[in-house]
Amino acid sequence: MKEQKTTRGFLRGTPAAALSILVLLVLLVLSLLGAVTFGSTDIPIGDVYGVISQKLYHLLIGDGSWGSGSLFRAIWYIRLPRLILAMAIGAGLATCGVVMQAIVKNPLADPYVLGISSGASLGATAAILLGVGTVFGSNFVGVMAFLGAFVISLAVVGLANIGGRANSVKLLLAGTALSSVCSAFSSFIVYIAHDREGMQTVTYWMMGALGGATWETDLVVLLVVLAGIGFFLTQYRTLNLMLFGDETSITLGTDLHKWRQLYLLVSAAIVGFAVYAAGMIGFVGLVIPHVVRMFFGTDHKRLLPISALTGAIFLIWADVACRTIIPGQELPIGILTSMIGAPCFIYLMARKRYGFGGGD
Amino acid sequence: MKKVKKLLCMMMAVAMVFTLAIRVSAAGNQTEYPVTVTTYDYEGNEIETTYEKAPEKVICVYQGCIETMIALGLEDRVIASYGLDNPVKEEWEEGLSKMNYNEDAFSPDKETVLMMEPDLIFTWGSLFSDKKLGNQTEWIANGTNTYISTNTRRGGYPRTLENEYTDLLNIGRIFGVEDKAQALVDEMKNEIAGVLEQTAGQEAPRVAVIEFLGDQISNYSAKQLGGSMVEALGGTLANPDASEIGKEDLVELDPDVIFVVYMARTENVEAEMIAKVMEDPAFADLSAVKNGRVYSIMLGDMYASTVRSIDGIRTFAAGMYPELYK
Amino acid sequence: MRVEACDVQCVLNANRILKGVSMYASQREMVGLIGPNGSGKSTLLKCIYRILRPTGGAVKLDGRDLLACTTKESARALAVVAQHNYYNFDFSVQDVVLMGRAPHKRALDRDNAEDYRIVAQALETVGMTSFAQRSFSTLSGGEQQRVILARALAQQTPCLILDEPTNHLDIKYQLQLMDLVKGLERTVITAVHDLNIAAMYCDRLYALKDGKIVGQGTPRELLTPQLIRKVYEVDAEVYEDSHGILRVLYYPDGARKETVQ
Repeated sequence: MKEQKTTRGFLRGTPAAALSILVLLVLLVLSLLGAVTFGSTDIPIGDVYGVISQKLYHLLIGDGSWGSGSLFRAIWYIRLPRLILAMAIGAGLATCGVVMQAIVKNPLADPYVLGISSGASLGATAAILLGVGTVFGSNFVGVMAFLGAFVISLAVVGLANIGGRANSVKLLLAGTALSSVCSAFSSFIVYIAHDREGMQTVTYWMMGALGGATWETDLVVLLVVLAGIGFFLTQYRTLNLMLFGDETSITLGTDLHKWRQLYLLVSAAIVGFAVYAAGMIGFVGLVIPHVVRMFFGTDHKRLLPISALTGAIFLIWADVACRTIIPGQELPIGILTSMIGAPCFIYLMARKRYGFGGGD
Repeated sequence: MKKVKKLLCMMMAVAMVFTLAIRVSAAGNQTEYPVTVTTYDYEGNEIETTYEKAPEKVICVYQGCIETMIALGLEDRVIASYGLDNPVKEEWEEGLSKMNYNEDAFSPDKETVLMMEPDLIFTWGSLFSDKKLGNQTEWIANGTNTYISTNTRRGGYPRTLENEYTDLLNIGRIFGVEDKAQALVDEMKNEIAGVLEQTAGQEAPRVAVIEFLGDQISNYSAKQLGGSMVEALGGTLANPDASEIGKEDLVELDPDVIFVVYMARTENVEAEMIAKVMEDPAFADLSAVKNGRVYSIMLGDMYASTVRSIDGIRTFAAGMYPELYK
Repeated sequence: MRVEACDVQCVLNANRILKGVSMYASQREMVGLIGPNGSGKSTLLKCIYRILRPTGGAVKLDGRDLLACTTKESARALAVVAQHNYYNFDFSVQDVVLMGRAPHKRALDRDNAEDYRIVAQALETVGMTSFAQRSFSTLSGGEQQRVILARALAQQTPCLILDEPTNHLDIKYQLQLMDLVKGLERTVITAVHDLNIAAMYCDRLYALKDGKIVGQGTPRELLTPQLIRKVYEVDAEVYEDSHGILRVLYYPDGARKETVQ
């Protein structure tokens, strides 16, 4: 027979995918090294690497030398944590996008679907305007957003199970219903609090920005994201089954019901921590999985790791762009990703070849 | 010719002696360092900050902070400034030109601030959010003092005129220019005292300070600086509690005087804002409308306004007691 | 493997769809379910392949209660080719067939060379080897059904359940698919719409009407004009053609007496 491959997913073969993962890993390291030289102030590249290598050396020999001076602080406490956060969140959001799309069996889902975003907004709004949760310390807004996201996800699962087992459609309905409720409560808080500055803060906060990165938050987010990705990598078969639907899955030996809920909660944890550290960053979780699918197909064995790596690299460079597009000023990364993401998405939609996998 | 020269020399000498004398006298009143000042961290907790000497590398962000520095003659201490809502007053323009004002960015980012190695950041509370500069405590721990406009402290504390006085005096103490700061505060206090004295025994005018935000009318309550100013001037707030009111509420309140808050973003905004009350048929029967007592007031004069508070006070007083300002 | 349904009852939305159905399929037997739409064929099959839970009675695999098995165990016993397979996502043919290996895998197992060999074999059996890298959604209906059959084959189950698999297929593909299945030598339970296909391929047939078995036997025994009249409410003629194959012809109401002798 003649070669029957279509252009879609031309990198589908396992060796090609494995090679791609390797290439992306190398690119990720190069991206980190490259991106760290960009900042809102001009620091000579030599100084940048000098600071990092010195610090790494001291960490390695463990003499507890912490370095000092504003140069050191700018690189070690501002630039690097930020990059690591961008990497972690990019990988996390792309992974959650893939997973959410499988959970609701809909390629238009993003990590914030199913109430996570409105839950996070509600948490953040309550924190900023009513001062709820100040006991959680300096990032209490983030903690409240995380709690909001997570609690709403639990509620979505609970609601979807009322009157019979939850399925994709019921999850979506429950998510939509609870989103509306959360938005209403957020608006209510905004209305009663009537705090001009607070409202600006809420808006700014929800836009998503990586400026709040510290090593402490990085560590938490990175651990959660890595654990989450690690978990999902073992679940690629079940994720594939999710796209075949409940009935087919049972005949293939997996009852999706409990997995769907478990995945939703793991995703909610990842997204919740991402929101905690950086607010809402749109379109990464929606577009990256689509782009990766175009090249590597739908199989989650390849889709998951490649999406995670692509998401990480994408967000690192998106953040560099945010810091350099307007001199002296930083564009919130949520705005940038939406500005890049929306046209990409429309392009994908308009491409005839890529009908989101729909049949002819 | 020679005589003229001599005279000039003498005059210069005299002038120099005078300036020196003034300098000396100013020095005589200087703050004893270290100075400890109370400010607030991002969550709104009180923090004590200590100044070993007057700060020399100040980063100054937002209108009131910039203008305070100029009004106190401290512009040469500022290494970078950001975030003007509207142009500074004419008499402050020269001062602003020495403050390295950055037109491109409305507020600076963390790295930029860090690399400038400032010894004081003087701004509003919101700039220290975790996504902007990060909490004050961290900056202070690394040798950069912070001071925020007290009326931008987080946590629902009432915004008062007293806080504006405190800020002026605190900045005065930090930089050793307490006299100047005191003079500015006295000017405001005297203005109010004068008004109160001249209107003693008069019935307190009922005042509403409102702002049109989209379709809603926000009402400046007693917990807002605008409300605080009105009350300090002997006025009664028509509604001292609500933060938002409907058109019907305003009709019901029927205040004697209405102040409409505007942001000085466009040329005609003042007239537009007044027209929103004067020309709305729903408000036609309001006594303030009928008596032509609807005035405009600039947001910057009554919102974390620091040195501009004097303008807010005067605008309010002139609207409340027009006979005094004829 | 012997698959048995014992007095299976099923109530859906307060409708009694199955009113106590008993049937069996022995080792390597191809058993067909016939009956009009709504007679309960699909519901019975769904009870057997676990999508529906019987409200009474039991399904047994080699005498063991189906519900006592894990879903993985039952998926290693029964593979299913259902009527409709439309996926919102774009899998390659190989990906789809590879999923047939899922019941044999634990969470951390990777796909190994053996799995790929089985997948290749399954694709070869259904004649779809050259389509392995094609995207599933670009295939024709017949090709898609063959891929799904390949997936069922990759499951390597002793029993295969076909839920009207030839619906919407062109005649060529209907025959092709049934030939394939017949050649597998496994226990097969299939719902069949077309009595001629049932007659051609099945060893034994059960006739369902209104949720009850109204007849059973080999095609020759069962497919009589009387039974067809009873089950489908149409007149029919059953005869053997020149190749010795049983044929069923239908007639419009009352037409038969006039046109056929």
